[in-house]
This record gives sequence, structure tokens and C-alpha cells, in this order.
Amino acid sequence: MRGGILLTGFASVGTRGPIRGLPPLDGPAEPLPIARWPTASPRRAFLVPPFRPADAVPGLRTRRMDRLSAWALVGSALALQDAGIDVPGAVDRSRTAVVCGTAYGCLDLTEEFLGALATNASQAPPILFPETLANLPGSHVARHFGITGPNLTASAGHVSGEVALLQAVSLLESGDADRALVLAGDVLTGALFEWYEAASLLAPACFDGPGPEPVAGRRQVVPGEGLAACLLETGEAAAARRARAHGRYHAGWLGSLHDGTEGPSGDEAAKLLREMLGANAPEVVLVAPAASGPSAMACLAGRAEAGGATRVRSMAGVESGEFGGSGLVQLGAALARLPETEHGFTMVAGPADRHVQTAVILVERPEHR
Amino acid sequence: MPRHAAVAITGIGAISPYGLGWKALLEGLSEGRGATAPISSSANPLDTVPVVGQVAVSLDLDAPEGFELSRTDRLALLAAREASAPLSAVPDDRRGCAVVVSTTVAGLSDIDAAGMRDPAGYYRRGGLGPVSTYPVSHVADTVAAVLGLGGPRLGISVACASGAIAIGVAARLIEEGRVRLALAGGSDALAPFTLAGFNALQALDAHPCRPFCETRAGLNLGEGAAMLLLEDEGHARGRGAEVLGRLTGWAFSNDAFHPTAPDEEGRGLASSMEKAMRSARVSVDDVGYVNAHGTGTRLNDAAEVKAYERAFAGRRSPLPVSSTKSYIGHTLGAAGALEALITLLALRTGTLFPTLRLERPIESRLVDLLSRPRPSSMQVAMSVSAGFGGSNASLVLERARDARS
Repeated sequence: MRGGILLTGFASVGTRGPIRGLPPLDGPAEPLPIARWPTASPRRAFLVPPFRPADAVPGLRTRRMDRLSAWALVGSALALQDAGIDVPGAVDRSRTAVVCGTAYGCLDLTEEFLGALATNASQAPPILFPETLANLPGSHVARHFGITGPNLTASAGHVSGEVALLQAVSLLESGDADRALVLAGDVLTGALFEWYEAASLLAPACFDGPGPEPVAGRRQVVPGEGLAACLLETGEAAAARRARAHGRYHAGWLGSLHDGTEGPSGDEAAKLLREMLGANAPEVVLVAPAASGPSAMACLAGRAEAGGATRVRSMAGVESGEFGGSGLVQLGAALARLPETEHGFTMVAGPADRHVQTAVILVERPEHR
Repeated sequence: MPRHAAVAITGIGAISPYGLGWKALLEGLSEGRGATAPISSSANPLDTVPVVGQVAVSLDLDAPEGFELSRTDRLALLAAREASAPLSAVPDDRRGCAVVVSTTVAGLSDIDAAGMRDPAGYYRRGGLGPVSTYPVSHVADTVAAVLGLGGPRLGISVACASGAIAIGVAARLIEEGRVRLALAGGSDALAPFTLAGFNALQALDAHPCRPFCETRAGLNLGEGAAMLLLEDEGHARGRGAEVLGRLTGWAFSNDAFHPTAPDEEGRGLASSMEKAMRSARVSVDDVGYVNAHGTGTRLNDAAEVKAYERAFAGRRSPLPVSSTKSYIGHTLGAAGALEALITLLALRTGTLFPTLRLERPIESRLVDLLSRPRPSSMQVAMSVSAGFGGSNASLVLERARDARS
């Protein structure tokens, strides 16, 4: 595709609230104490502090929406502003797509609706039901901005953001759209956090003190919540309005890299990176949050380097906890790191273990070809 | 305007209120036999007794290690097993086969009263396994794990447009060259969640539904699953696969109008149909039949007829349209996939299945709302879907060159 695909706008809703532009790299390094719901003893997670969406985007009305829908509206508005599109009507909205990724969907209102069912299913509140659907955040964005292009919601656990991004890239490459708003996120409820704990999945950082013994074979995570939003445009579409870009999409991959034993196959990882980068592969910077612990992706990167694929350097991303949009948050961190890298490639990778897919997104400096 | 490369359909599978298998579905449709009935009391959370399409056959399946299976998972697996049968001849292809499955309720189909009332307490008491089935992606993960399919996998959740979108997304993976095979479809089980939700919206008909009829009064919910095995045409030819049909075009759009009501003029749905036809390089006169979304609600059906009048304006003869939701109900996340499969069966058998109970069709000069079965030698047909949230999806299917029943 002539001009490639550019990332021209970014925004996020996270531990610092709504932020227009790339995420700052000096956010909180540790999860914060949970006060939103009662816990038997102190617990920690990466939570979004309450805020009024209308304070972030004047005139925004989000009453009766799930927090995920409200964040989607805030994130998309800020990402469009970051891209320099102040009036959505300035672009062809029939050729603009909205692609969302989420692991759990509109969980706040789903739990509320379930509670109403338990009381009296025949008297369930009608206004609540549609707002529980996983695709409603994307629908609200379409309606608010009058975007009539393709609109879909994908789910792939904690690589949902990467999957949404790859779907958006696909729509642009096929010519079905000229630009795409990519939104990925999740809300964390008390019930979901308790599920993580009951399933022995919580990392030590979630506890004050040592926490329980880890269970062999189980991943350890710090749950998080939030949303990341980015605007992708074809090179031609971006050039037509002289947009500046944070970065250029280079390649993406989704699949299983697990060889059934301890981690990703080094040979497969090396082959994958060679294919994605092409000949004369430059240095690749792997961006991952430090709180992810001994990252299987860092392991993959190490094995890939050992396999002769390329030089791989790790740099700290943004601590956001794990949720459906955390990979997209790391993409923002990777874009923020681009000026620091020698050759402009950065890799964002989702977790790799036997039950979770691997997603790899490579981005480069806009001026690279 | 994009033009999609054709993708071969080399496997099909279904489970519906008619029973297990695509043949049971075809038999019911061919006999003109509706499969909806008053809901069983054990599955009914409401004070009223809605008419639904329930799957009555046993869904017994062994869960793979580390997996819990919800009813939605089981429906998906049974359809997927049938559709992926051709892969038994090419076991190496399983490793790269993608899985794209849509659903709206996923494992929420099985949540009990304790879980609804106090989810956190339910998890503490040991409800961990069922909770793992709640994410939309769990259905695709389960299908991939049980059938040993190792390609990329993802869940799609776009309300009632989900199944059609899942098929388009999977076809695109093949078109891009990321995979040569993809199992795509949708699954949804009847659930208190959706029964209560649609009841709250007053969208349910207390009798068997009458899509496109002037006296229509709402929809009937249903459950089921359908899967299509999509394959790169060259790869299918190379291994001598039987090609059951071809997916030659698809397009998605959004009304950007209202969370639950369609655009009254049908503009968004018309747009998806127009783009789908252009992507398939067919004209308005080439399409021999449209399998409609046709839920039976007052708003949807009126808007949908207007959408056909927009999209097919200038057509030389009336456009045959029917809603097969009149047979099995509205299966939500599975609907788009089941209806794509039914459209394929219509192409293969040369039979247009009518809308049941259509006594006073909405008047239209351009749209021929079928009330009786009709033979057809059509080569091209379309399946359209629309959903809450305003998303629309249109698929263009083509008869296989050596089609036989």
C-alpha cells in the first residue's frame, strides 16, 4: 500500500485518567490500593480514578452507559484531537471504521443486569440490556461522530487490543476504509478481581505483604482496567490532510508460538521476526511493562536473538496491569520510545503461554520506508 | 472500492432447533416445518411463556483438559466438528487453520441464580470453571483446542450481525494470505440474560413470529450454531477438495443512528449491500435471492424493505427475499452464520425457502417477499444481517460450479 499505514492519533484512559497523546512513561510503577470495593485485606490493582467524561470532552453525555462506553467516547474524542481532526465531518465518515477490542465487555452493567435478573427477570430494566452488549462502546462512538463505516468488536483475551489493531489494518489494506479508530479496553469489577484471586492468578504486587504461594503452571497477573485509542490512516489519507504521525505500522502477527513445553519456540520466534523485518533486520526494541515479571515475550525475544534474527533490546513500557487494552497501551509507549531507538523498530508483544495467543506488532518511525 | 478475492467453502456444519447437522436443518426448511414452540419451563425465567427455537438433542461432549464447556461452547463444537470433517484428510492443515467464532452471550447462557445475585460470592464458593466460559473469546479458544486447530483465533461480538462479520473477518485472513483455511461461524444458546433483555424491550412475539407481515408483532428467540470451513481456492483445488460454494464478496457498515432501532430509511444496511455487491463484482440483477435479517419486529422489517429498495434500485425484476428466522427463531450471535449456511443450501438445492406465516406481506414494488417455496437456477445470492448497535453485514455467495444437493 502506497504510503503505508500511519498512526496519527493516540489517547488513553488509565491510572492518570484521560490523556490526549502518547502515554507518559513516568506513570505509577506499582498498582494502587483498592478502595472502590471492600476487600477482606488490602489489595492492589491498576484502576482508573473516577472522572467526569464531560470534563475531558465538553458536552459529552454518558449517563446510563457502562464505564467502558464512556471511556470509548472520551478516548476516541481525544485521539481524534491528537490527530488534528477537530471536526469529524472534515473526513469521509463512511470510509472511517471503528474497531474495538475487549476481553470482558461492558462488565459493570452486565453484572448490574444479572442482579436485576436474579430479583425478577420479568421486570428487568429495558434501558440497561442494550448497554451490556460488548459492541455498544463502538456503537456509541459511531453514533456520536456519525461514523458509518465498518464497525466491529473483537475479543481475544488480553491480546484483544492487538487483535483490534490488526483488524483495523486489514480494513485499511483491503480498501474498505481510509482510516480507523481502534479502541481497546476493559473495566475491572470487584467480582472479576475476586475471580482472579480465587483462581490463584494474582501476582505478589497485588498484596501488601508476601501474598499466597503461586500455583505451579498458572500465570500471575496484576489486573488492570482502562482504554487505549488510536487513529490509523492510510498514508494517502494522512498526506491529504498533512497529518503528522506518531509512527508507521510495519507488520503484525497473531497466533500460537508455544511448543508445548516451557515457552515459545526459539526457532519459530526467530523465523517470525525475520519474516516480519525482512533482510538486514535492524535492532528491535521490545517494549513491555516491568510489572509483567519474567515475560515470556522477553524470553521469545532472547531466543530470537540467539537464533540470529536481530538484536533485541528491552525498554520499559507503561504499567497498566493486564486487561484487553493493555497491549495497545504498550503500543503507545512504544511509539513514545521511537525517537530513542537507533533504527526505529519497536515491538509490542502480548503474553505467550500455553493458553494465550501471542500477538506481535512492529512499528517504526514515520520517515522509515 | 475494494474487490474481494473469492474464498471457497469446503465444509459446513450446524446444530439448530431441527437437530444435529446441516441435513436436519435442510430437511426442516424443505418441509416448510417451523421449529419454534413455547419454551420449556426449565429454561424459562419469565412470567410469560415465549415462543422460542430450542435445541432438543443431547449436547454431551467431553471437555478438554483445563476447559469448562458452556451450552454455547457445546453448540459451537458440534457444528464445528461437522464443518471441519474435511480436515481429517489433511491433518497437517489443522495446525494453520484459523478459528473465528461469534457469540453474544457465550458462557452467560449457563449462569445460575447464585451467580447472578452475587458474582463475587459465587467465585469464592468455587464457581471458577463456569466463569472462565464468560469471555466471548472462550468459544473460539474451545473450538480450536478441541479440534486441534492451531492458527489465529478470535471471538467476534457485534450483536445480531456477529455471525456474518465473523465469516467476513475469516475470509479476509485467507485473502491476505495469513492462513489458507479458516473455520468461521457463530453460536448462541438461549439464556435468561437475553430472554429477559428482549422481553424488557417488548420485542418478543407471544406467538410464532411473522417477519415482513403487516400483522407482525415481534421476534422469537432461538439457539444454535453454524460453521463454515473457508479455504483458499487454489489450496482447495490442489488437494481435490469438494467446493460447496464460494464467498465472493462482503461488506460491513454502521447506521450511527440508535443503540437498538435501525435507521428508518435503511441507509446503513443498503450501504453494506451495495458495497458487498461491488466487492463481488455483481450487479443488482445478478443476485437471485436475499436471505433477510427479517426479525419480525415492526421497526426492523419496515426499515429493511426500504434498504432493499435503495440497494437494488434499477433492478429489472422484483427481488426475492425471505426470512428464515420464521423457521428457527432469532439465534443472535449464530444468526448470521446459520443464515449464510441456509443461503448456501438454497444455492445448492435450487430452492428459495419462503417466510413462514406470511399472509399480508409489506407492500413493495421492488421486493418480492416470498410466502411459498420457489425453484430457482440462481448462481448468486446474498445474506444480510443487522444488529443492536447499528452494525450491518452483507455476504455474497455463489453457487459452486458442480453443485449437487
